[in-house]
Amino acid sequence: MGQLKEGLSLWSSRVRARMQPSGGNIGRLARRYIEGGRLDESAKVLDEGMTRYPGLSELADVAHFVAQLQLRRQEVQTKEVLESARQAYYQLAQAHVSVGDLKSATETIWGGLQRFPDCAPLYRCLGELHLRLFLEDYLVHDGLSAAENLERAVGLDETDTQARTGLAGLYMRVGCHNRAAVHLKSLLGRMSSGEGDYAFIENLLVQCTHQDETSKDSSLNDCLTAVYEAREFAQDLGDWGQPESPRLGHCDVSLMEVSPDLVRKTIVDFLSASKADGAVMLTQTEECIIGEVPFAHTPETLGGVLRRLTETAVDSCHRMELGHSRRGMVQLSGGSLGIFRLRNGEVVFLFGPGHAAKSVSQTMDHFTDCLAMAIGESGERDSVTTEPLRGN
Amino acid sequence: MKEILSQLNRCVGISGSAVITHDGIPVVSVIPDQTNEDKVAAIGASLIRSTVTGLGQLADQEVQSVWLEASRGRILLVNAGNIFLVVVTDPTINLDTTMLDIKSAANRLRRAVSLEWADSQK
Repeated sequence: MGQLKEGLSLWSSRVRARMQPSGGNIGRLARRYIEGGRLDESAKVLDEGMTRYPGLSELADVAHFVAQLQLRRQEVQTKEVLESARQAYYQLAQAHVSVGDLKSATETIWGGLQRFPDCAPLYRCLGELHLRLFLEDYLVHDGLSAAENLERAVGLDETDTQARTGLAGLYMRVGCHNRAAVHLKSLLGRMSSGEGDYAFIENLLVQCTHQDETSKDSSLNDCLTAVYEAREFAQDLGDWGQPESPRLGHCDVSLMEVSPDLVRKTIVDFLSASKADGAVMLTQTEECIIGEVPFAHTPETLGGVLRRLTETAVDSCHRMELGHSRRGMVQLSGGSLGIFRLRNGEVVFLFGPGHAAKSVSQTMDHFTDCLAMAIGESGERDSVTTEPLRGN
Repeated sequence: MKEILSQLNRCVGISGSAVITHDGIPVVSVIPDQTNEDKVAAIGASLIRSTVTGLGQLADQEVQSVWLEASRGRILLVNAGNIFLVVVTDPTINLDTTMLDIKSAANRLRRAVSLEWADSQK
């Protein structure tokens, strides 16, 4: 009987302890949860305990400790979220760049920079975007934006060799040797001799030193203006230091260099099935009339007239800062001309009277496809380059 | 003329327009940026001289329109009688739709010039 009473008393005290736990028990339970890494449960127990025993120092100390742990965990989580957001902006911008949607890429980058103004990869991405445009069209404001943003990227992360390479390439191409030398030295300092482009960069640095001795550097703006006026770079660096072209974007045929023989053959095949009466192929050295000329021109003068026209067209687009000319159309009272531009020349299709502008435009679209097919079928991929226009 | 150009500029994708004579003298232009205003006039004049003197005289043909497409925009020149309408547009616009507005503006300019010429003869 006595044992029964004793057992009941023990059970009753346990029930009471559970129903009304003491401050010490709550503290112990909270510590157990902390040791098990269960901070949320610990916080919950402590919250109930503080409500029951407000101001109890034993609980308050544990609660403060739990709060600190929770805060630290929250900081780590937030940093992870922020880092992934930075990465997300950068990756989205790169995705836009890779499909050639530069407007969306720029908007994404500016959106990212508003939230993360010290994000070096975003500045680099923006700088490379402007650099690619500058390499295509030589426009001063593109060059300045490229330099400004790549410099910011390097300022925020001096180990960013990609941004430094872009800057060194830009400055070398426009003849700003002092500025180029700074980044070339830094690039060499981060490489071991014999590694990758080491010899090439070393050679560029020697050139910079030599240029520095013979002449003083002009300002960046003056150098960029000189390149814009000349429409060619001070130095041809090949592919070095230029950003990658969009992989999935719309192919810009006007930046392609195709062998004249292949173009001539394609025109001959194309004319037999197209609405155009004839075509004039203009290269740097020759003017070749293929098919019929539906106008009263004499063949001797037609090539010269068309060459002057295409030169004016190219120059007009450049002066208007509309970038590189791609194609054009002239409608005359007795026919039309369709101008198709390649990197190394032009093809002018000649149409007799009665062709609407849309028909001329469609014919040129069709020629683009025929040329693409011809390039593919001939296997002359080596004769085709899609790099930005380069001087020298 | 300025009113016609201003109305034309309200169309989506058109960034500026100007009127130039056949011998390349700028008459009027409505371009948001003053620097570009002079540039458009000068370049339009150069284009007109090149096409009109080169193609027109050689083949005894009249230039009706010139359209140039570049990577960042387009330039259009439309013959409006004694004058040319020069229009600068974005690269992404639907040219078929915009061309209707441009031709309509060219016709209105043609009428305006004819009326002015008739008035001056009275």
